[in-house]
Amino acid sequence: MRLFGSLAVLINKKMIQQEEIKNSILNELGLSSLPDNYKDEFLSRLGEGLIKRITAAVLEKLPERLRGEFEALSKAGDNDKMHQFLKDSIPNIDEITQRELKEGIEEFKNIADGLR
Amino acid sequence: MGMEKIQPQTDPFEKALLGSDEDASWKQKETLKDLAEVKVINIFPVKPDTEPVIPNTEPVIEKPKEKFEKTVEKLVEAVTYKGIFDKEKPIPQDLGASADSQIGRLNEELEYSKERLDRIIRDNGPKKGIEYYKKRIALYEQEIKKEEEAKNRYLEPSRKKSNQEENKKEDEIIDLTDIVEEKIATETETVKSSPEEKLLPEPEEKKEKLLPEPEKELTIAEKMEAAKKISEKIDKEREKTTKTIAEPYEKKWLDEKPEFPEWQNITREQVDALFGKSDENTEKKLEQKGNWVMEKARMAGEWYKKQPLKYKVLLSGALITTAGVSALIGGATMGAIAGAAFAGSIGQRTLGGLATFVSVEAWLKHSAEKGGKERTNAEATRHTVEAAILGMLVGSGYFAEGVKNISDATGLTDLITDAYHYWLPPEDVEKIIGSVKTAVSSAETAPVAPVETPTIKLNVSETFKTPPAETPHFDIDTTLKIAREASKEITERGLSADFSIELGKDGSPESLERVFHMMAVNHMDMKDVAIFTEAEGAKSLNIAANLVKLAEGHNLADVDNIKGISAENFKNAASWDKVKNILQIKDHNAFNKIIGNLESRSNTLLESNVLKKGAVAYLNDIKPETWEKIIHADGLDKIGNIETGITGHDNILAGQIKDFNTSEIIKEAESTSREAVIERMENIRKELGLKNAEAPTGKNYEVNFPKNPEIATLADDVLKKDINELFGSKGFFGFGAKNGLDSPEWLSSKNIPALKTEGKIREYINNLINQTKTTPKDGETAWNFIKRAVTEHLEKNNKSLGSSIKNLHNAIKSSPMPTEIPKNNETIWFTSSINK
Repeated sequence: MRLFGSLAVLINKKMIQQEEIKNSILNELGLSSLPDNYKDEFLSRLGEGLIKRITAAVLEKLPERLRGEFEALSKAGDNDKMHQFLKDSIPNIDEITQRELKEGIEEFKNIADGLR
Repeated sequence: MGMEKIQPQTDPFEKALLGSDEDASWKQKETLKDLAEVKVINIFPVKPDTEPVIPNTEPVIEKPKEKFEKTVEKLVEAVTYKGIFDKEKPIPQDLGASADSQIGRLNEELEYSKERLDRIIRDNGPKKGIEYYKKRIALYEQEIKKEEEAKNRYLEPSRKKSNQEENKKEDEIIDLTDIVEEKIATETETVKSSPEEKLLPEPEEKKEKLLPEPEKELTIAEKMEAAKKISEKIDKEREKTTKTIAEPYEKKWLDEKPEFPEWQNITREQVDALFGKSDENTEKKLEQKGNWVMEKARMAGEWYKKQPLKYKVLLSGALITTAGVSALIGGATMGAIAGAAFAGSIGQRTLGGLATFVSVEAWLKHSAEKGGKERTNAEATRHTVEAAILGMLVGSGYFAEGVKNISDATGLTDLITDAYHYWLPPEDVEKIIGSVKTAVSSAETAPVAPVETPTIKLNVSETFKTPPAETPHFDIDTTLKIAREASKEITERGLSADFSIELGKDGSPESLERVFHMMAVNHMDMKDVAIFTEAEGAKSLNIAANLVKLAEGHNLADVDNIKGISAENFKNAASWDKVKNILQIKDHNAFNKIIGNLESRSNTLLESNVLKKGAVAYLNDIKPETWEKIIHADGLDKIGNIETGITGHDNILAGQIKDFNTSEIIKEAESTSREAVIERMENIRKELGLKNAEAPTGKNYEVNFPKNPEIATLADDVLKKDINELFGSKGFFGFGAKNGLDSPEWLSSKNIPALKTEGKIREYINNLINQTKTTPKDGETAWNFIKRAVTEHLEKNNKSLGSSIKNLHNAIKSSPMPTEIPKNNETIWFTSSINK
């Protein structure tokens, strides 16, 4: 694929926007001076912690009697059904997720503050 | 069967009913039931097979066993606490326990905050940090107090109610017992008075009066419904208190949060320590939630770790973005994560859809709101639909049908097409389209629009027609695999290992410029390149030149939207020891990223025609056979035992490299470059106070082509040799390593009238006049004269080639230079040697 003309512009624009997003997130965390070669890895590791936290926060609210159904749905792999199931079983799932994410990020920032 | 005389008795049941508080056995349902049964049996001597309608008055009437038991139960219910709650309904004690759990959590956070505050004070930390933690502590204390009050509110009514009900039980039992006793006495009298009469059952209304009106028996469904209503009510109450806890997160904390100072010069060790602590906290949190939850959360983490880096970054960024704004992905993400984390083999599909969905949605929102303006509802809807569609395109199995249906429903066909091309890399687009063609036979689906290169336009509504229900969809997993491999191929060009190379050793290139040039070409994607043209050449030269600049310690500024690179950043990736002639690649991944940045930069410069005036002009300085070596990266693929990944492009052969010597583009670039050089020369002359060279216009006279073609060739050789000797490879004013004929001095002189030239060229012309006895014609240019004089002289003296050249050259060299330039073609005396 030739990297000239409009395609090159498209690729550049996408790369630039993603870079801007990454940098703005790291700015928010007070970590804009992170070397470029660390940025992707940093965000990736941060995401892992957040994924675990929100998974735990949500599944903690799932009644025990529904765990079997959850396992079955997850094996089937139907995202729509899973989404509906979680929404029906945990009505405030959005609030739980958002709250956990905020807590996780604040905690992370506080740890960073302590280590500066 | 006759009826025994019933006599009231003081039996253990009565004692138990009226017993003291110490004896609580009557409060227990089971015991009460037993006792009630005993009571009923005492009244009616015959048990279960016969059942009285009214426990204490009726004569024995034959009734089913169930009715007897029902009666017992009614009696029990009449005297016990009766509620509509089922076992699952949270009783006040449970609500209190929940509040305790919440208070416990808040206390933990409070302790943590106090520790943090102590530490900051002890370490003389920032004032803002101290203020922040003080506020946090005050907030937590307040919330704990509120939670305590809420807990007491929950428990107080139940305590009161419980007391009231206990009292009520006592009263009811006393009342009931009185009623029963009274009734027994009455009926006994009746029996006494008319023993042969059958006692008729009490009328319904009287029957009802004997016992407190039992509450209507609720069905299980009704009980569940009631319990649910109560639970909802309790949850609402709880939300009121939990909201005040959430407020710090949503309002107070975030609005007043201290600004975290920028962490300067963060090191790898600090990053590791940061994540070490964070991961430790996360694990502790998971452990508190029980084994099943902990296990699932860890599995989600493992699934995440296995994903490609770019998806991890996208998802992470989207999660962080979501936390800061209203939930964009909430439940949908949880559905996808939960499904993907545990779904095993189809995780890829979910991943693809998830990654695209979250990335596009979040970025679209961020992009739209970057300038501070809110998206309109229409935009938000459009963005979400767009993102979901893209997610579906990549990740779901309902590719064509879904797109068509949605586009028809929302009229977003053009938008989808644009977004499709904008957000997916072109190579993925091409591969996906290609896989649509190959994976699904034409008999089963509508034809796919042909791919146009280089811009691929896809008319979705025409291309993807709704297939019949039984049409199998193409295998998205295969598609993703193809797209991923294509991307992998593109992204994996570059260095694959860290290494050090001593230039010029063991067959490696001798110059840093050459090594960087090879690396630059190696990094470029050329699998579809048929001819290596000026564009590829110019870009590679530009990249190499910038690498040299960085290696020499210079920074590179921004170009358009492409971020600049600092020499410091470069040093983290590579270092150049000029003394030892050693180039060290310290971090090959970082180095590849730098080259990627430079490649983007060179694309921009090429598009804006900057390179056409610059790097292009030097392309023909490199011989074709050398270009081949550069493109093949000869000597760099292996350094010692290390395979560097610099494999070059062996698929491009010599015949596929354009002949830059004949390139019009390059000639034009050179001309532009020369003009720039001449302009520079003039500026230098002015600075040095040199006499301004006139810009006369000479005349070119016709030079008759010699009858003997060999003389023409000889004349050419003489001229080239002489001019090159005069102005040579050192050039003039140190500009470049050029042939004398390309030197600025010659170029600026050759069209000037011969007798108006100055310097070396004038000396040469004077000597030539002397030896050849040929004089310049009126206004004849230097070049024309020299050519004519040499040719005519050789023709006149048509002897052997060797002696002619030798004689002529010797003559020129030995002739003295005249002190005055004669006018009007007088005899010229030559004095000194030309080559001073």
